[in-house]
Amino acid sequence: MPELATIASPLGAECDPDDTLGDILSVLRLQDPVPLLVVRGDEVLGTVGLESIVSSFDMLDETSVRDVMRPAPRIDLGERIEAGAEAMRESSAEAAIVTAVEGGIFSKRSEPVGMISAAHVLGAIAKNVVDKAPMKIMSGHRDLGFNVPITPCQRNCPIRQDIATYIDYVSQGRYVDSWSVIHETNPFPSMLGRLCNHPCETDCKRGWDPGEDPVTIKSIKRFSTDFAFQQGLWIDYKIAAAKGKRVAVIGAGPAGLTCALDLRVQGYDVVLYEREAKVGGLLSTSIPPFRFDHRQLQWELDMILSTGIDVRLNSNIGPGPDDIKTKDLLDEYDAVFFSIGMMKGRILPIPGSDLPQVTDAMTFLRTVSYDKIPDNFPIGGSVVVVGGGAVATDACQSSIKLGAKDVWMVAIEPEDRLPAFGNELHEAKEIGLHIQCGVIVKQVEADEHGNVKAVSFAPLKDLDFDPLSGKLIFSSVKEVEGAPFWTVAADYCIFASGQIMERPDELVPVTQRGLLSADRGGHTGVPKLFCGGDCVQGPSFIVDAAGWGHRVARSIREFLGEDMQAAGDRIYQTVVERTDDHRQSEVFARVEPGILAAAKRYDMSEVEQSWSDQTAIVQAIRCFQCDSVHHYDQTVCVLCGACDDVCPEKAIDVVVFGEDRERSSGGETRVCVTSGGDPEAGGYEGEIFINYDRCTNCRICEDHCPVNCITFERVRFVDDTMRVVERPDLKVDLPLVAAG
Amino acid sequence: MTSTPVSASLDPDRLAPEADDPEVGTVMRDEVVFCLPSTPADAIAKLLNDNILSELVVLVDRRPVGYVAKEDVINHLVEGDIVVAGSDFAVRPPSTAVQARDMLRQSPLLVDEHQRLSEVVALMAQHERRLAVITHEDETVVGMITPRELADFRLARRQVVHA
Repeated sequence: MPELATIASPLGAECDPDDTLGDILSVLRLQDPVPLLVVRGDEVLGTVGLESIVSSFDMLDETSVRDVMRPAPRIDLGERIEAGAEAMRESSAEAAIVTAVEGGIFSKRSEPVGMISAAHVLGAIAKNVVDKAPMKIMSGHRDLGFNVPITPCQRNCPIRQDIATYIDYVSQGRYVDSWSVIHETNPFPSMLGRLCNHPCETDCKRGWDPGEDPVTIKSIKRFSTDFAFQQGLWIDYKIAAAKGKRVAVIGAGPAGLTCALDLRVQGYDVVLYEREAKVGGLLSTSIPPFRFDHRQLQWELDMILSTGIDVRLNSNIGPGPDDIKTKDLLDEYDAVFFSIGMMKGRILPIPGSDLPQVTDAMTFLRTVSYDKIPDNFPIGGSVVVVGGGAVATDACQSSIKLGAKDVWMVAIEPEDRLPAFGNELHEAKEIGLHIQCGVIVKQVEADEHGNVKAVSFAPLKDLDFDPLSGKLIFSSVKEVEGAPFWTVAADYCIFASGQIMERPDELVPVTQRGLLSADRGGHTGVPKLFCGGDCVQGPSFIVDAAGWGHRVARSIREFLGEDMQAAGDRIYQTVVERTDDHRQSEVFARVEPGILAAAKRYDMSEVEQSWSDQTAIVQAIRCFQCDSVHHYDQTVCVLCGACDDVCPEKAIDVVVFGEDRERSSGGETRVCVTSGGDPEAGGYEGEIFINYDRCTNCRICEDHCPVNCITFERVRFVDDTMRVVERPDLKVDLPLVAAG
Repeated sequence: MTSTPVSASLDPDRLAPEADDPEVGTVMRDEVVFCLPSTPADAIAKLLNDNILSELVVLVDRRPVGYVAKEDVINHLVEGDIVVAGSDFAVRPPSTAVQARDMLRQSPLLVDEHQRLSEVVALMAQHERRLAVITHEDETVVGMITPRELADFRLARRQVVHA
């Protein structure tokens, strides 16, 4: 067992009991955290530490050491450290005098040879702690020379979510922190926790190895959000000083709301125009209630709008006599952003498509979103939905839930190529959806009263798909010659065959595809006019729209003269955190969230269920934490190469100058440059590289470093734009554990 | 006429802080060293020692929920809950199962960054504390003050006065 001799230091500076604290202040400060010895003659009377100045801060020059000194027990040098600590504890001492026996048999006596303080004992306890990462929150942006990587998931996310961090926080049970991190770039986590196409998971390093599945990032996000919603938490955005500039945002969908929020937080006056009677765009009007909890959407919209965004509902921008004109907006505002989406459904121009029982999916879903049954909808009848995407699936499921007896989804793609993703098709089939694939719609047939009675389709030859995008190659769409039509009886026909962008007016430029013309930053070439989202890109995903919102907000800020370099001044804190290793995660498999039993899915209840916290933590532990990377202490590393040797992924290269050592990892991230002594005289000089495409954060290098110079840590930069606050009035009773 | 001092006619909150008693935000260490409830005792010892602290604030969701004092860690060592390992271990030894949550003290001493230094020191003395956590108006932690900062401030003032 370690003895006091291993930690004791020589007897330090001394003072007299009649000295005042003012006299010894500079020495106390210099020697802190080790206290000064209080000595009179040869006798050690006690010790005095820097902590003693707190109680007499106003009277340092009047307070004598005698009044504040603490006892100094004696203990033999051969005693264990625990015994030394106990001696200090029993006498409430800051330090103990370590003694050794000196002299012969008859003159033997204990003489002070050193001292130990609380700092020495703590040092002994901490001796083998290899995690040297400081757990610190520091003001402002600090470049500490740390390696701050962008993780594969974050790289793939259109809104650059700090995914590894919020997942790690869930694994630690820090759900509120997790939700707060999500909100830094994502104003709709409840939506994206359910409906995102999760490009992050596509590139998750956990899924890179054959037989491994990526982390369930989307559902972990949903878990954090459900928790925050249940707890009645609220994001209180901090609005910067007013810029005195006004921006109009047209369209209150994900792109418009994201842009409006970003600008509002930066101090711009934002007016949000929406032609519907509610904000949210397709989130509110096109996605049916069984896909998500509408209370959570409202909660998130309220958080955004409470920042002081001026919302003007039922306000259409267009050529109509009652519409607001683009020119007027450009005259009135300093910048105008069109994010009008593609809200009109396309009805294919085939015979019978003008019958009263024919509609497009966007109109159909919009009506349902207002809690109404669409005109002519045949409760108890048959519905045919033309199309195979997510909108078609939503229209099918909504039809079943509204009471249609037979619902058909008819698409030209084979079933394994349908654009609908996730569990949607499976869910719909479980509640009775019929699917017919490989046919193309030809005619909607009417009965003698002019009502829909059937829809006819022509069979198609095998289709070809672009291997890169997975999209259908148009030239391969050929009918089977001479084959009879496939006809299905129907009372109602819904076309889910694409969406159309409605051009506001001639001032807004359009492309040949009929989309608004703008670059990726939303610049249109028309002064003060910006466009973004689906109306520029074509039908896409919610997260893409939010990405547009962020980008265009940045473009507008630049256009309005803001110095975007200086905008980094809002970095409020730099957080350096120690992270735990997740190597035990290898035993856990990916789990998908449960769905409501089929028998309970005939109403508008939410289908996908939330996780219990146990499941969420286990799934979060599967994350490799690619954001938490090596920090080599360059003052300690001796370039021994142990990390290189033990790395199971061969991700590390230790290069010692002058030695012929192969660099096999392919890594280009230099994490350490160090030298010790003169290389000519046996010293060393070299550097260490890591290939982060190979590293899995197993931390075996950390364990095997003989000089403990490797730590794993995360560095985050937090801006001052938002705070999490509790709103007890919002607390709701939301079951977190999946039923069944 | 009575000789009422000028100061009696002024709202003290509207006066600029005096050089001898500045706002604590100008004196504080502008970083907050913290641990989580799950941080093990040996890591706490390291954080205390590396940053020369006697107390360490415990944060949950970036909010202070308590603190750990160095005496608590030492107590656990004396009680045998923490093992002081030798230096001949090739890999990290399992030294303790004790975590911050097992020795959490409440409540952390939180003071506003605009509070006067004298008030903060008085609070520290009154509560027998060696660490005050400085917060922004929205309760975000922004810094901390310990006897080291107090000593530095006093020594710096002494130099100014002598000059």
